[in-house]
Parts: sequence; structure tokens; C-alpha cells
Amino acid sequence: MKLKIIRYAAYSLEIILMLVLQSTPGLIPEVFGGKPILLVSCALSIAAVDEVIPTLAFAAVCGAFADISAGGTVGFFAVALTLLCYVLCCLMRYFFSTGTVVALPFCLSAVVVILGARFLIFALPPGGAELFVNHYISRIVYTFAATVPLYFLNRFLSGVLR
Amino acid sequence: MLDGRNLKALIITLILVMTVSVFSLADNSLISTAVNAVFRGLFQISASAASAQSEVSDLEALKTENEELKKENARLREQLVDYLETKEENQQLRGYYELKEKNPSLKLLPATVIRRDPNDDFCGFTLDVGSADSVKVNDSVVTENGLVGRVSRVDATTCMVTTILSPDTRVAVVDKQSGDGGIISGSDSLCSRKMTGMGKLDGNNKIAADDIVVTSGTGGVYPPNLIVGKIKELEYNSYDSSQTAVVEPFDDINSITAAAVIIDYMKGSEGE
Repeated sequence: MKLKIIRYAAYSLEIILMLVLQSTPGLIPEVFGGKPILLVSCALSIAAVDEVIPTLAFAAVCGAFADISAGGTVGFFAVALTLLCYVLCCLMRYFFSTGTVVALPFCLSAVVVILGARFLIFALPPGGAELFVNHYISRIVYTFAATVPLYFLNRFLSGVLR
Repeated sequence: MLDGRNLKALIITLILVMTVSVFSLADNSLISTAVNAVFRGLFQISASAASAQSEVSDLEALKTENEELKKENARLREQLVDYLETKEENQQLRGYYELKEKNPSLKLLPATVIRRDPNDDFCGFTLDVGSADSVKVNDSVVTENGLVGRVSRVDATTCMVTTILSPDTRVAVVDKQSGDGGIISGSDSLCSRKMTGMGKLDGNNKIAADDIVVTSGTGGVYPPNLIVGKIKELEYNSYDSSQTAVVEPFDDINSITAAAVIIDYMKGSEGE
């Protein structure tokens, strides 16, 4: 129980750190017009290594922070990340294994789904397909690239603090 | 995957998220105010640290910029002679038309950029002032070099700024040299070049490169005579033969670290 609390505290600190890192102006360089959404990476990496109920809680919090950072209204990321992380966690726990070979492709798929949905809902009407090519492809790749080290970090935390 | 306990947890979580979402809809919502207030200090520290780091690495860039500014200074001296003549004539005309030279009614609130969201594709940012400092939605945001955007969302301690590079922004402007009016609105292709576009141009316009574009004040959202940028070139839309003037802001909006919010001004007054 004590180790569980320490693990969840570590996840919480990680979420706060990701929020600050992704929002700090000029800290993370833009690559081909995109920056990583570290809160999405964080939520997916927790979903890939932990149980369902904590996954839901942390995904909702990451999503809420991402929404507040983006526009102030909690909505898209909170709901989408909660659902996506639930599906990811359940798939890995009940149908597949929790190994790296399974986790990383699932995380990549999840990043594509969530950012693709965000583009279709919010960015397609004003910006068009041009926006997807100029910003979203690099954002997807960059976000997945950030998911990889976070996955290994959370897997370590999950293994040691269990 | 759909066993009872997990499903219940999912439903409860979704209900909680929807509830929080409803409470966060309005400006000044408790949720966003609380989050921004709690993390404001952290964002300010990290923004200051990142800004200090970039200042050191920008030394070479500053030297190059210094040389370019010396050349522009020489060009501006020539323009100053013309300006002084025009100014004298203008002062005489003002005597007839009772124009005010400056707009003393602008009330500025300095602020620091504390956050840039990676989801924003048009260089939007968050400032560390909010409704507690009398900031309201649609207040203009400026730097010493001109207009950079407007406040699009505000809570008690922070406000989000939508820049003039965004297609969501519409600014009524006028070319200072030719007198032609237009509407500033951004696009992704222009934003990637750090520029914005001036559309709705008259077919017989006399807009030329290097003309200065300022706000016209019509519509009542933006005070008049705020510098927006200078004309870079004219582009033609091949579909409808309309023209768009490409406008280059005087600031690199993606790099600014400080700005000021115009929290009040006298509507209907003329400016310089």
C-alpha cells in the first residue's frame, strides 16, 4: 500500500513536470512545425504499465490539464484520453501482454487516434489538410518519441514500487 | 475488458470529467482559474529560466541584428526629413479639423508570456495577467513594436492570447501610405513564414511593399492607429483573382516574452 502511494505520487510529479515542460516557451524546440504533447505521452505510458483504475484517474487528470493548457475548457483531451487509456490498458492486460513489443505499437496507435481526432474536430475546418501536413504529422511523431522514454520510466517505477 | 468493476470505474470517471467540463465552460471558470493560479508561479519561473538561457545563446544573433539596425537607422534618417515636413503640414491641417495628435486614453497593462501550448498552431500564448487585473476578452495585446493579438480567454490570473497570425483573428486595418483598407487574418501557410495576410482589398488599391499597416479602429475592438506590420508583397488568389497583401509584423510573435494588454481606451477618439 505504501509503495503504491509512492508510485502514484511519482506519477503525479511526472504529470506536473510534463505540464510545465510542454508549456514553457522556447524550452522544447519545434521540429517540422510540431511540438510534443507530453501530457498525452505521460497518460499513455501510465496506461501501458499500470492497472485500470489508476490509469483512468491519471488519464483524466492529464487530459484535463491538456485541455486547460490548450484553451481553458476541459473537454476533448479529458474524455478522449480517459477512453483511449482505458482501452489501451484493458487490451494489454486482458488480451495481449504488457511487454514493450506490444506496448509501443499500441501507444503509437493511440497517439495517432487522439491527435488525428483532434485535427478532424478542431483544426480541419479552419486550417485544412495543409495544417495536418505542416504540424500534425510532426506532432504525432514527436509525441510518440516522448512516450518511449516515459514508458520505460513508468515501467521501472511500476516494477520497483509494487 | 468490460468486467463490472472496471466498467463502473470508467463510467464514474467519464461522469466526473463531464461535470468538470461543464464547470469549466465559461470564462473565469473555477477549474481553470484554480489550476492556473496554482501553477502560475511554476510557469513564471520556468518561463524566466528559458528566457535567460535563450538570451545567452542569442549573442551572435544580436551582433548581426545590430549591423542590420545600423543600416536601417540610416534609411530612417532620410525618412525623418520627409516626416518632419509632413508633420508640419499635418499640424496646420489639424488646426482646421481639430485632430488629436496622440491617443492619451490608452491604458496599458504590462505582462509576461508564461506559457505557449503545443496544440496552438498560430503562436498563441498565455500572459500572467487576468480578470483580477481588469483584463477582458477581446482586449488588444501589443508590444513596443505593435499589435500582436487579442485576449481570447481570461480567468482570474491569466489570459490566453490569439495572435494576428491566426485565421480566427479579424482586424480592420488601413495602409498608412495609400489609405487602402483591408482585414488582417492569418493562415497556416503565412504563419509558417511568420507573416499574416491583409485581405478584402479594393481592386484599385495602391498598396506597395514596405507600406506600414495600422489598425483603423472600425468595429470598436482594436484601438485605432496601432501598428500591425509592413507590407511584404501582394499575392493573387488564382481561384477568384482576389489580392492578399502579405504583412510582416515587426515582432517575431513566436519569440516574444513580454507584452502589454490595452485594458481601456477612449472609443471614438482619433490617434496618431
